[in-house]
Formats: sequence, structure tokens, C-alpha cells
Amino acid sequence: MNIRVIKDFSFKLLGYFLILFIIAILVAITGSIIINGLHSITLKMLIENGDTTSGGIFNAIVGTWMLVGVGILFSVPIGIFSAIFIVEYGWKRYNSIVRVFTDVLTSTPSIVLGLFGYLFLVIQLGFGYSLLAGGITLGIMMLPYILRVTEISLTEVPTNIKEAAISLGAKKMDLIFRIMLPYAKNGIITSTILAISIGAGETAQLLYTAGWNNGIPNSLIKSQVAYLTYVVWAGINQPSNYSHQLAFASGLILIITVFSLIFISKYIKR
Amino acid sequence: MSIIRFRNYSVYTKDRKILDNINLEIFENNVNTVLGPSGSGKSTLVRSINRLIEITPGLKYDGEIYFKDKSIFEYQPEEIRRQIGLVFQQPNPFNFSIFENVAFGPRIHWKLKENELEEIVKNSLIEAALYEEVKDNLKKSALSLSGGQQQRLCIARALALKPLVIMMDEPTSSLDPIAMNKIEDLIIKLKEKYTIILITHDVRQAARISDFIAFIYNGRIIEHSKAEEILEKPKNEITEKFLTDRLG
Amino acid sequence: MPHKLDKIFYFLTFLISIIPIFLVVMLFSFLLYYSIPSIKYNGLKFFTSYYWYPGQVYLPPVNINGILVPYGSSFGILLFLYGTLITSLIALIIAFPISIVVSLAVNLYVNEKFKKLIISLIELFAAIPSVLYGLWGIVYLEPLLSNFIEPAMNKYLGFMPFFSGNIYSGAGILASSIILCLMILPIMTSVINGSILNFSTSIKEGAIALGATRYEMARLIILRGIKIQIFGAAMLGLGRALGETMAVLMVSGSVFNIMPSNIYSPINTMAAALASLLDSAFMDSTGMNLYALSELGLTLMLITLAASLIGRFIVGLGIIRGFTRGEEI
Repeated sequence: MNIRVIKDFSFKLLGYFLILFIIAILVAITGSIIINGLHSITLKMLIENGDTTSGGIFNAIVGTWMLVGVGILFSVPIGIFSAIFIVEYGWKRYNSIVRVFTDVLTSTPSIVLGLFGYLFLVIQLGFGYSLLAGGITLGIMMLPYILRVTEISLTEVPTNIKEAAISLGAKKMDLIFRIMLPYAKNGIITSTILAISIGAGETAQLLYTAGWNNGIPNSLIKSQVAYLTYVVWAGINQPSNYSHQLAFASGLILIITVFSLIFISKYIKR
Repeated sequence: MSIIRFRNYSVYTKDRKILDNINLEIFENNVNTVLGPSGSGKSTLVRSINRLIEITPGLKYDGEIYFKDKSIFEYQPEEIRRQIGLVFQQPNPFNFSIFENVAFGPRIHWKLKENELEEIVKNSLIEAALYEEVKDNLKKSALSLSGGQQQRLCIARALALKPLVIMMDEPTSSLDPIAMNKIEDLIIKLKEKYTIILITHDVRQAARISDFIAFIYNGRIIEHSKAEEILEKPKNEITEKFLTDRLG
Repeated sequence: MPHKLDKIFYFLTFLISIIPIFLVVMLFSFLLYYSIPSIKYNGLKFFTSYYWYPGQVYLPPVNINGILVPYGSSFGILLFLYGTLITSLIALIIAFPISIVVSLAVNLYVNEKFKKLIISLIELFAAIPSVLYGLWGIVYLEPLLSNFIEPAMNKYLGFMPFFSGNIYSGAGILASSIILCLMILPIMTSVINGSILNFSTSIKEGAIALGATRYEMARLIILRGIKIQIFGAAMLGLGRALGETMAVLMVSGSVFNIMPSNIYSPINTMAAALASLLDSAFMDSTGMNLYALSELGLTLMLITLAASLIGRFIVGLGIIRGFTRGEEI
């Protein structure tokens, strides 16, 4: 064996070791959350409202979906229509400006978005801690993602298909709504599902926009909302055993939700 | 009777002329073939007629094209495209069902009841000689059809708009000989009702089905006359060379 | 555009496409607007002092140079700034070689099927919500660090100043850095993997023909082509680490006013401090706490943006928060 082969072998060994090590950590994290979650969760938790120290997490589950729902309702239409403009009408310089600004949004730390949501939505627009404030703040985070993926999907519609439609006398709107969007459908759906999974796992944006509610919010504004990630955060920081159980139960639901959404999106993409 | 007339029509890019001062008549209920080597501007010619080049970036044009004695630029582009169908070189059905492919045009142009739509789809498929092969599978994806069937579907899709003219841009160049024969037979049948503009570089195909042939070379119409005349005694030596080269 | 409906649609989509721009402009304007009183009041001291105290918000405010502020308040972000930079840098130092070696090994030694599996498993790291990293960090990582790893490090690396001294509860710089490292691994691996893919086929064939081993090929790939992309990947990872909030908030120890003495010390970061201080800021009737936190947010945003935008510019694509889709590269 010469030195070259030994070097090669050591590098291979190192690579395999690191890959296995990383995957082991991944398994350790997800595994510990799942196992602890399974030990902690009870049926009662799933159907009762709670306050992170007692009761259940029904209000947090519902609240999470409501917030994500508002986020999606905000980001998907804006994302799709912006992408349509960029692909179908936009000129080069304008498109790159939009690109830079969406990149800025993507790069903004979530707590800074949360602060902005607080200053702009909660205070300035007077929404208070609410579904609308929290949901839109989530939506702002989702928007660049939806926009970009939709843009890519629309750009990938084959030219010969577009020309076929135009040659049949399709007006711009026929082309967009009957050809481009159906062709980009999978991309849009996948990105929406992934956006849901990102939104469901976010915390920092919501701390000062959604607040907390021991029940279900009764209005879009000025009614605070509970959400699962808050239970994880607040629960584990409290001394009682039951709070920890609530935290792990919420963690379990979060991880199942997020992983199954990713799984679904991968399935659709195929 | 000529249904389309080019008058001093040219198309340019920034640095070259793609079509150079075209003057050409397209005769009703005939197969009008535009014959020429690849890169001679044939596709640009048909894409000019249905105003597809207006949405191609970087192209300029001047001169006139008349459709039914009215400048095509006085029509709405969508109306021109409805009345003048275009079938592409590569079959390009939409990723919809067979039915929806044919129904696409009528749906966007007319408000129709479902049974009227079905009637149009059926008749178009019959006219395109595809109906018998697909009548039980109208809901199946168009992409499941063979290449030749897809091309006939594209013809049916154009026919569904009840056009006056059907332009076919090398419609058989991606097909096998059997599928090609079917399309050629179809073209001969279609000319009774429609005006056909056929783009091809295949001299034999031009000889088989053309009534008129315009020979185009480097963006210019070199000569234009009845098919037999141009094939038997071409007046121009470029035409003659092209024909003898291709016919061996 | 001859059709009326088309025209309306054009303007509608145009207006909608301005929304992302509008949001960013609003974001900056609000942060800046709310920062101005703090910038005026704190001046440069904001960056040079590490002492942050919201003040006695229940006592009547005091007038300092004509500005009303809570009694005893002080706003210095040096500790947070230091915490953000040190945890992100350590995270990057750990993640950098790992992501390079892993991407190279995956491309050179692993067959296509396993490669896809490994890459998507690593990308799953990005999907785990940040509070769950924090949860795992509190329950498992902190005890592991304070009981085993940190004593060992102290013993064997203690000859270096930053690695000696007291060991605390496990929450602190090291814990935060490890968590951040896990969180930035996927984006870095994904980008590096993508650039190797773009680059390697031609190199591979040529190199194998020359009789090179795979390790030599790996060196060749790095030397020849993807240095700059690796730098871009590092910048993207850094950008993500700088702005990470919840996980760090949970495992940093959230210390105030005490500069860390070693790698085991509790720390605080800009993002975590912002998250933990905001609710008490609302109690401040003078608003100065909110203004100072806005300035903190603005500073954090500018630092993060610098790293991310450089990374994006280099890598030249829109990788989106949390999800790094290898196939888009």
C-alpha cells in the first residue's frame, strides 16, 4: 500500500464517519423528541385547552393552523401574482430589483420580522396581538419562498406549449390561467406545503404578534392566539413536570406535522 | 382567389434580415407549400401571418400582410389566430385530456354549452381522422398518444376553431413514415374545406401534396408558381440546384 | 395591450409585485424610525458598552440631556454583539469542514441512491423547528456538555485561555454554537454539494483517466473550482446563524451584563436578547427601551443582511429560509 492509497482510505473513512455521525445526531434529536412526546402525550391534552402549565394544547394546535392559514392566505396570492408579473410582464431591471428585495426579506432574522410585525401591524395598524398580526408576519416570511418557487415553475412552462396556446388565440389571461398556472400547479402546491411546514415551526415572529390565548381567538384582530411552538418554549422553561410533558407533546405534534408535510411535498413533486 | 397576400414584407433582427421583401399570394382551398432549406425564413413567414412574431423579442418588421383584403394588423391578434391555425413542427399537445386539448380553443373564444362543445370536439377529431382511435378515451391524457396521433390532435385542436386557413410548419418532420402518410392524406382531404399553408424542406413531400410552391431561400421568395411548373422546369438556378440536390 | 381586462390584470399584478418591495421599505423605515431616539440618546456608547439595563420602569422617568428615559437605564449591546459573533463563528468553524468533507465524500464514495438519501436526511435538519433544537439542547445537550464534554475539554484543551476556567450549567457559548452548527449544516452542505455536482463530471472523468485516487480528485475539485462557492456557502450559513433566535435563546444561558470568560460561559445574542427583552420594553412609558431594541434589531438585520446577501450574490440563487433544495442549484 502506498501513501496515496492510505490517504484516500483515511479520507473515505473520515467522510463515512462524519456522515454517520451527523445522521446519528439527527436521529438523536428527532428520536428524543418523538419518544419523550409519546410518553408525555395524552388524549386529554389533544382535546382540552390549556395555558402551558395545565390543561391541554387544543387551543395551541388550532391556533397554529389558524396562524399558518392566515399566513398562507396572505403569501400565496401575493407570491403567485407577483411571480406572474415577473415572468410574463416584468422587465429585467425591475425583476432583479424585486429579487433583491425578496432576498432581503428571506435573510431577515425571524425576530426582526417579529419586531416589525409588532411595530407595524400590532401598533401602527392597531391589530393588537392577533391572528391577523401573527399570521401576516408569518406570511411575510413565507412570501419570498412562494414567489421564487412559483417564478421558477412558471419559467419552466415550455415555450412550445405557450406558443400553441397563443396560436389558438389565447389572450394573456387565458394563457396565464388556463396554461401557465395549471402547468406550474405542482410547484405551487409543493411550495405552499413547505411554507406551511416552515410556518408551523416558527416562534420568534409570533412572540410579539400573536401573544397567547388560553382559548380559541374569537376575532381576526385584537384577540390573542395560542400556538404550539410557544408551548414548547414556555413549557420547558417552567419547573413543573406537567409543563415539560406539554412541551414534549407539542414537540411531537410539531415534528410529525413538519415531517409529514415534507414527505407529502416530495411525493407530489414526483 | 388569394386569401392571404404579402406586400413588401420584411422581418429583421438587429443585424440581419430574416425575411426580405416578401410578396406572396396564398390561394384559397389549395395546398400552398413554402419550400426551402432550413434557416431560410420559412417558420418566420408563417409566424408572421398569425402575428406570433410580435411576441418574439428582438424582431422588427415592415410591409403588409393582407388577410381577406384587410391588413392583419387591423384585426385583433386573437381573431387572426382563431381564423388562421398553426400546427407546429413538434407535436405540442397540452398536458390535459384529449377532450380538453381540442376544447381549449372553443372555450376561450366562445361561450358554449357543454353539449355544443362536445359536438365541436367530436367533429374536429373526425375531421382530423383521429376520432375512431380515441373516441373511447377522450378523458385520457393527450401525452399518452403516439407522436402521429399527437400531431393529428394538434390539427384537430386548430380545426375546432373553425379556421379558414391552417398553417403547418414541417408537421411531419418528427414523425415516422406511416404517421407522415396519414398526415399527408389528411392535408389533401382538408384542402377541400380549408386553405393549407405547408412549410417543408422535403421536396418529395412538396411534390406529393402541393398545389402551389413558393421556393424560399435566404429570406427571399425565389420563385412561386404551380407545383408542377416549379418542380418540372424551375426558372431560377438556385431553385433548380436545390431540387436536384434533394431529389438526387 | 388592447384588451381592457388584460390591462387591469397587468396593473393588478404589477401592484401586487410591489408588495415585497413595499414590505422591505416599511421594515427598514419602521426600524429606523423607532431607532432614531435611541441613536440620538445612546450614540456610540450603544456599541461600546456591554451594560444593558431597562431601568426602573415603574419609577418616574428621569431627564437626561432633555430626553426622558427610565431611571437607571443603560443600553449597551456589546455583550450581545459579541455573543452573536462568537457563537456564529464557532458554529461556522465546526460546520465548515464537516460540510465540505461530507459533500465530497457523498459525491465521491457513495452510490447515487444512498447519496440522495443522505442529502435529504441532512436537509431534514433545516426542517426541524428551531424551538425543538432548543428543547433538545436543554434536555440533552446541556447536561451532556456540563457533565462530560466540558470537563474533558477543560482538562485537555485547558492550556488555551478560552478553554480553561469555570464550567457552568452547560448553557452558553459552546451549547449555542453546537446547535447553530447543526442548523447551518444543511444549507452549507446543500450549496457545496450543488457546486460539486456542477463541477465534478468533467473533472471526475479526466482525473480518473489520469489515475488519480478519489481523495486526490476531491482536492482537485476544491482547488480548481468551488473555492468561491464554498465561501458563499459559509456566508449563507453565517447569515442564518447570526439571525437565529429561539434555539439560541433557549441554550445560551441568557446572561446580562457579564462578559463571558471562556467557551463554557453563559452568553446572550442580539436575536435572543431582542426576543427576551421586548415584553419588558412595553412597560417603559418613555419608549426608550423599545427604541433601543429597535436599534438592536436594525443592527442585527444589517449584519445578517451583509452576510446573507454576499452569500447569495456569490452562490447566485434564491435559496430560501430553512429549505435548501439541492435540485434548484
